[in-house]
Amino acid sequence: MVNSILIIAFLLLFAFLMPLLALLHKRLPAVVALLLPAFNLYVGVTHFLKMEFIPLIIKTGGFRPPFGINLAIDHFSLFFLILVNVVALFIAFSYLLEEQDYKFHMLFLLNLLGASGIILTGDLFNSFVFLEIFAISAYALAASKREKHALEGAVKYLVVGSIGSSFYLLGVFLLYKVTGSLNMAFIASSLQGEKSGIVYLAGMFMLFGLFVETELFPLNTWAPDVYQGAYNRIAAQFSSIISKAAIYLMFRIVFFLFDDPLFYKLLIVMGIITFVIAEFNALVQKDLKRMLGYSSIGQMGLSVLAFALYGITSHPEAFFTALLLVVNHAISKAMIFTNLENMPEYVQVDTGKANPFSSLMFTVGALSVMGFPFTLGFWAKIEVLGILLRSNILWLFFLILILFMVEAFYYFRVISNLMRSEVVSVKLNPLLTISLVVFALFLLYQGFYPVQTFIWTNKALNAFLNKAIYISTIAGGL
Amino acid sequence: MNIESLIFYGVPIYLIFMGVLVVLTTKNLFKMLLGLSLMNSGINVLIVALGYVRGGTTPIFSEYPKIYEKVVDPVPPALVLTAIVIGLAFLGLGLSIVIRIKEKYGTVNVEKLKELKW
Amino acid sequence: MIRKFLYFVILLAFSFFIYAVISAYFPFGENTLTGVAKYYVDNGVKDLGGINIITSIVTVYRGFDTLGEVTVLFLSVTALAFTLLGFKVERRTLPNPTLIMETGGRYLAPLIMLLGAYIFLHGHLTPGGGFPGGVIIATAFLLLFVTQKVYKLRKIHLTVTEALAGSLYVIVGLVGLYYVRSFLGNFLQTGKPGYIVSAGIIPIIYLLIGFKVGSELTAVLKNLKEGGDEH
Repeated sequence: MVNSILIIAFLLLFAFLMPLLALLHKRLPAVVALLLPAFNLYVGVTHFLKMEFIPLIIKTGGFRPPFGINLAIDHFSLFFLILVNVVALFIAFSYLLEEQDYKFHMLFLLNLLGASGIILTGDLFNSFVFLEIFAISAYALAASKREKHALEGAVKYLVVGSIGSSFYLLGVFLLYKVTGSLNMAFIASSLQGEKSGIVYLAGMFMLFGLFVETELFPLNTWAPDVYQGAYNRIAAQFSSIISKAAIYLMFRIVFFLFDDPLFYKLLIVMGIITFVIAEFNALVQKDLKRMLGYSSIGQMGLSVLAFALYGITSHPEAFFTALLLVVNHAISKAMIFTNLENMPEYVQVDTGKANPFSSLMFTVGALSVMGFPFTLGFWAKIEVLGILLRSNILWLFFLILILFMVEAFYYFRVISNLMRSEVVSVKLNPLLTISLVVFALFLLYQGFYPVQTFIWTNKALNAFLNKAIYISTIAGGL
Repeated sequence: MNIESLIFYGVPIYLIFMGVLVVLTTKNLFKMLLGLSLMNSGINVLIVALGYVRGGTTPIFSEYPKIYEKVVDPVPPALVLTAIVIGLAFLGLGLSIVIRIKEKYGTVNVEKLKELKW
Repeated sequence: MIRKFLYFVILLAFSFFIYAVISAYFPFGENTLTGVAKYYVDNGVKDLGGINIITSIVTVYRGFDTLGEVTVLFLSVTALAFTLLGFKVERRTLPNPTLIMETGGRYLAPLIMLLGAYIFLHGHLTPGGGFPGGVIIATAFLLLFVTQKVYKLRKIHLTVTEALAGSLYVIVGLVGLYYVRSFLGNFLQTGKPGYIVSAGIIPIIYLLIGFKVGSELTAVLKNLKEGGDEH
């Protein structure tokens, strides 16, 4: 198996070389931006299929953890790595022929680097550094359209994001002071058992930082503006790569490092509030992209809520559900946002012109997001309701059910408008068409027969739950 | 609450607090960036202050092979080095976005940036 | 007005709380080195040969973080250039330099660059290292921008330096991967501590970082002074 540090090394090397590559040939940056996610995907999938259920440790700097930084690779990280790179490949492929300054491709690759770094690392300060790479490239990509709306969204994002990142750093450092190490496995083993008050403060600071990136209330006010103002492919990147890598980090920190009822309860409350506010806001939107942005925020709230249900129900199925929601949302939203390229005349929610292909693609994506039967989303949403029923939290069950119906309502409103709208012919980008069809077929196929997704998700879940093996592999013997 | 911790902890925390206050209360985007910078400085100083060992000297053994008895914790300065550069990066990018906003909107007053509503 | 006061009060309460918690748990100066810090101090010189422990941590023990940090800076510079694409600076915003400024600047700039180079070359022996060294070099260029009536610095030179320095850093890491089976591992002799040719790859890394940071910040200054590229 290829050494997975090469994922990071190659992304870095080619990002640094990009100015020189652009001098060689104008199209080269776009091609490199396509090849690297493909490489990462190859490494990720081979590891996923061949690895044992023991975390793989990759040292850097020549020293074993905790004296050196290490990457810690288990099926849970690989799950997210594969997801993020599939979407990146999808985006890079669809937009291969688009004219863009080489710096844009650099930003795209560096964002992917940040996401992959967060997912693969086993060291907490290293996660901060990659989080910064990830965040700064996100700010730049949000502003990339360089138009009024894009800039407005980007600057709001930047201000909230910087404060969040600074607090994340402070939280990481406080954990270092308490435990004497920056390595995730060592910190996790030190934090088992009775926790002193400062640990809670550190955790709060870190979560504060992550709330921004995962678009949770109350730090998500930037998100609708960014979704509305940015390029379509950037909006797809936000909903499917950026928020997913951030939610990975949140899952890791809350379960792996802390595993404390306080944080679970906090996430449940915030998740519910986020979901409620986002869905009702989506209902009253006039602009299609803004509505989709609120829908993304809502899904993030729902995913976090599903994850945190573990804290009060102690069902590991809660994690399983969260992972399903994450996969479903990443793929469907990537489809919907990139498909907007095919419907440039449909900008408002209730009027516009479109063509049959784009309407079909939008419909498939939307059905999966809302959880309509025979799409992948159905399985994810049903699981959430199932857990709530089994744990007898009936008020939440009904609340979530109502919100699911709200979501269905505003999506169906668009779908029915699309059916009735005036047909306009659009020159379809062939690469984008192929990618959309592939994703649509995936969502429908897994909707009918979700076995493959379930198997992979289960592997990720088992790796995640097995804290003991992770800790003993890295910190064992001390 | 002795005078030492008041200076070495209190001042950075005050800087952080001032930075956040500036970001929350000012209407000028440029001043917001300065507030962020202030906050970053506060956090960096706080981190270094938390690494102090009383009676310790810098972890640079310039008279090697003579090893010093007590040295200050070397990890916080290493982390802060990284954090300073990252703070600089934020500022740079933020400035370029604000410059562009000034160009497109004609102002850096936050109140005027209300194009995107609800 | 009332909102500002409210924010002030809430933040004040919050910072008192944080201050109280921190000074309760970590009294100032009451530290003994434990965990990784103790290992670094005890074994830093033996492992790597550099007498500046902080430098050893930054370049080798936690070298991966430094690579990330270099990337962040690179990212920020690229993003700045990208955001300012097509942005024109209308009028010269700096005052016209006088004769004293011009001559003085021309004499000072090389000395400043020399200072910067000294700092990053001695990173493993004295405080400082690649980052301050690079910043000082960029300051020298800033001096030239401000004091010279006309100072032409071709963007292509900066871009190439930046790209090469960064790629070489990754390549050093990959060489380490090949020889020592660990990315960014030390594969050179540690040498005699205290000498300039010692400490394995630390001087090399700091050299690369010095060049990279210097050229990057100069590029930022150039972008801010003259506007972005043509789109």
